[in-house]
Amino acid sequence: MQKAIRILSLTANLLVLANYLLLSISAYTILTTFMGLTPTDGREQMNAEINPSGDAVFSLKMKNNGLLEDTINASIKIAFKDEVIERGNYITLQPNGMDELRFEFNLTQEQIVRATSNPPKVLMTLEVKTLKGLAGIGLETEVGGITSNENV
Amino acid sequence: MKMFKALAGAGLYLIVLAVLPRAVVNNVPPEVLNQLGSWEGVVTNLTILGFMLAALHITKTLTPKNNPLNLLAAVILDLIELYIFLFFIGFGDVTSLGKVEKQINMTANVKMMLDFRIFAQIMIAAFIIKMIVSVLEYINEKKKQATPKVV
Repeated sequence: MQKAIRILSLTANLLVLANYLLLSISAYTILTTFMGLTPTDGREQMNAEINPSGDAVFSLKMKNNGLLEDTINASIKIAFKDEVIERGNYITLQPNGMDELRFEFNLTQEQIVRATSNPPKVLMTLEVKTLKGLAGIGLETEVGGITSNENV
Repeated sequence: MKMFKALAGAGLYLIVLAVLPRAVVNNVPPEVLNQLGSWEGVVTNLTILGFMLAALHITKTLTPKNNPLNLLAAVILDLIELYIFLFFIGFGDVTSLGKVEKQINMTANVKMMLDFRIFAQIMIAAFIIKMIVSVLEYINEKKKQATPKVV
């Protein structure tokens, strides 16, 4: 009985300690990755410019400054009045790894005209997960939007 | 030695839960505090819990293990510690068990999602084991007391 109590007590204390340690490392990894996300063009907000052929690209630079591997899941939604176009992408980053997430849209001529006359809302959903997806933080926010190139 | 252990533990609870949150709040800029909403209630609750944990720790350390008061103090102590962990991991919502969705109104509307359920689950498991240990220790001590000593 005494031995069982000692083993159980040790197990519980180790679980608590390991949990606090893992929580700190995970939160640090996720938050530093979140802080390190920047639009590739260096602007404050994420924007995309529609080129004459209808291509519009949103891109995001990211760096994992944490101690664990993390996965970034993201999607961009362009919400026209009666139509929503969505592109999703994901990337896995090792500690100190750097990469870029791209969301490529190919708008039709009709969509280009609508985007120019009445700019649609552009929403981004972003999730940073670690511990093989067991813990994570996500956010959904409106981003800069799309602007048309003067030549369009 | 027991008295020192009791007072040291109680002091630690008071520093972490009663003194530290107030020191943090006093050093945070007012505009950040305004964003946090009802922080005053949270700090007051933490102070009360700090005093409760300190009193329970002293009771647990100074009473013998075969005393029902010791068992009660140990179980309530574990429950309060678990409550505080779930409170922080759920950003104030204990019942969320580590999965939170919050709407934040900044320059743009932002919806935040936090998923720390795994840590809440591990902590609940650990505290259940801790409570079982407290009960087993109590039963064990009671058994020892009931068994006549062979001379």
